[in-house]
Order: sequence, then structure tokens, then C-alpha cells
Amino acid sequence: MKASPIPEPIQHAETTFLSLDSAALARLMEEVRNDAVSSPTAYNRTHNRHNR
Amino acid sequence: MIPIDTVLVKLASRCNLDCDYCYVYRMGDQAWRAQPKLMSSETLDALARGLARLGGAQSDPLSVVFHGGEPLLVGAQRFEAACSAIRSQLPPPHGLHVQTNGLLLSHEVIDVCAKYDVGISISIDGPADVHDRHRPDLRGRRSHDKVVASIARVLEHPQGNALLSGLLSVVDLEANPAEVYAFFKAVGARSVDFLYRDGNHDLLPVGKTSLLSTEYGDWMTALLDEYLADPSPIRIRLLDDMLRLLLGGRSVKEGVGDEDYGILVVETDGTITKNDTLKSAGGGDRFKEIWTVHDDLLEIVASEAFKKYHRSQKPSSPVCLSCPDLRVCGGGMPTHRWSARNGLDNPSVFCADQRRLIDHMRQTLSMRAVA
Repeated sequence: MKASPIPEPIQHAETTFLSLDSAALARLMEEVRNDAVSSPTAYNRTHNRHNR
Repeated sequence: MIPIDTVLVKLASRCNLDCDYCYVYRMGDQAWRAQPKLMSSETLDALARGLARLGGAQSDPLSVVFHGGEPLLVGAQRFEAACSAIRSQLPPPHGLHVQTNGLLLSHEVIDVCAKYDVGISISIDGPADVHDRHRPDLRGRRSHDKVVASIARVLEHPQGNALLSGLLSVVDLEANPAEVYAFFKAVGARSVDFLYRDGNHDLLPVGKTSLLSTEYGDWMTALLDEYLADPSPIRIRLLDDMLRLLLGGRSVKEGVGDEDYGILVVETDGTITKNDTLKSAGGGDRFKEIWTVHDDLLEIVASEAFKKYHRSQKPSSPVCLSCPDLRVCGGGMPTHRWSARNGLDNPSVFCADQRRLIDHMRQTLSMRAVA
């Protein structure tokens, strides 16, 4: 299977350049900085990822 | 070896609800009728031994999910025996969860979950009028009040916040996204996920007028705006995953992003099947080979047939492979790509919806950029 093309860069999406007026976004940016996928209290407490 | 992420264990093949959108009972597949109503202890023990071997052969822990039908139809004692069988072979950090409609979530069952470290995920679609429109019991009676009471029961448990993994909701386009979000906050959920109604290229999901229409994308966009404006937000897994990918991070959810998602599904008779949502895609969830929990799971996962199925989970249509949004969208659920003519070689029926949502996310992020 061919790899998908690199998506168009998100201008200004680097975490340090985003306004922190959204609590949800601030939380997500923190996770991205820490290379985390969720907080310990998030939906996937272990890694329950299924779609049903 | 293909790493297995999720093992979906069908403890019961029947359900005590009659949801109008169910991919097991309401989308043409009748295979459940031939299945034993409940999984036997012999099957569970054999499965547990096989999973121990499988889990020991890969670096990442397994996530075992008790599923159905309604898994708690087995009753509290049998449920405890199932938890004990799995946990005796797969201690933490392997994950163990139950996905339930909540009707049988008694104090006794919750105690069992606490004892064996079983995360509880409860299916509920939102406020009473929304939920009861689609999720009546077998006699047509409303189920919402009982489910809300069960959520409260879990949260009242001393370990309740840790036990409640989240709530799982199917999108109803007639519902107001802001009201649905407010309901989930009010009920005390800390995490919720949203699923789209199932459908495929031969039978479009309810509410979609064409492949180019964006009803689900519009609904999710309104939900996103509500979510991002909330000063004390709960979690919405689908939105979190897609936003995190746009921010340069990683996703966790099946069908989102480009991470592999290895899944084994075990029916009540011990048969190993493919991704069970493919039941709604012409009954495409069965392997030609008849594999059961009494076979070597490592050999099954290493087989060419399993590898071929695993590859088919990934999007394969030229539209997807050339799409700049694929690494965020992920191509969605395989069952949503299916048509009788092309099999899974189509983009998702939600392609336009996902593009609409991703575009809105990009705009939202750009608007918040500091000059």
C-alpha cells in the first residue's frame, strides 16, 4: 500500500504559538508536548480503543 | 507478528435491548442465531490460556473487552468467573473492560469490576428523549432511567471514577449537540465517545442524503465548538484524537490516524472472527478458515489469511491514498467503506463528513494562532 502524502502543514499549530483560550485545546497541547495520548483519567484508562 | 491491540470477547450473543441501529441484530446478519447464548467456562479458560501466550509474545499489553450482545446477561456469578479466568492469565498492565448497556450493572457486578480491575464503559446516547428514541428494551420500554441510575451507581463506588472508563454514544442527527454535551457533563461522565450510525455504500447511514453531504460532519462541528468553548471540559475521544493528530501528536481510537489496530473477535462458541462491525457489511466478519480458541492464537495471527484481513482494515481506495487528510482521518471503520461491488476498496461513506470536520478543526486552530 502506498503511504499517504504528508498532510498540508497546519500553520501556527505548534503548541507554543496557540492561544490558550480553550481548556480542551490547552490540555491536548500539553499531551502532545509530553508525547502522551491521554491523561490517566481519560476514556482509554488502559487503552480501550474499540468503536462499538 | 501483527501486534494485537484489542480482543473483543462475546460473553453473550443476545441482548436485552433492541436498538434500532444495532450492527449485530438490525443490519441483516443472522449469524448470532446459531451462536450459544452464553460463552461456556471451558471456552473462556481455553481463551485465557491462549491470550496468555499471545500477550507474552508481544511487547504491548492486550486490551480484552467483554462484549456482546449484552455481556452482563451472563449474570454476576458467571461474570466474576469470566473476570477471574482472564485475570489469572492476564494481570495488569493488560487491560480488561466491559462494554455494557448498563441495565444489569448491579452493585455486585461493580464490586467484581473493582476486584478484578475491569474498566466499565456504558452505552448511552444522551438525554432521555434522544436515548429512548433508539434504545428500547425487548418490550419497547424506555431504558434511559435505568442506565442513568447505573452510571450513578458506578460513580458512587469508592473506586467509581477510576472504574468508569467512559460513556459511548451513537450520534442522533436530530439531537442538539450542545444539549447532548451538557447532558454528559451533568451525568458526571469525565469521558465520552461518539460513534456515527453504521452504513455502507449500498445502504447509506441514517440521515445521510448522499456521499457528498455532510450531516454528520456538521453535527460534530457544532459539538466541537461547544467542547472548545467549555472552560471545564470533559473528554470527547474522537475529537481529542483528531485534534491531537493535527497538533502533531498521536491517536488511540480505532479507525483514526495511521496507527495499526490489531483486533481479534471471539464469538460465544469460541470461534475467532474478524472485526465484528463487518457483520453489517454483507456478513463479512467470518474467515474462510474455522479457527477457535482451542487453536494456537499465535499461529492464527501469523497466518496469511489473518495478515490479509489485517491489511484490509487499512484504507485502500485511490481517493484515500492520495488524500492529504488521511493521516488524521485514518479512513474510518472498514465497514463504512464496504460495497458489494468493490468490497472495502472505497473511501468511507463519511469521507465528506470527516473532511468537513477536519477543515473546521484547522480553521479553529488557525484562528487561535498567536501572531
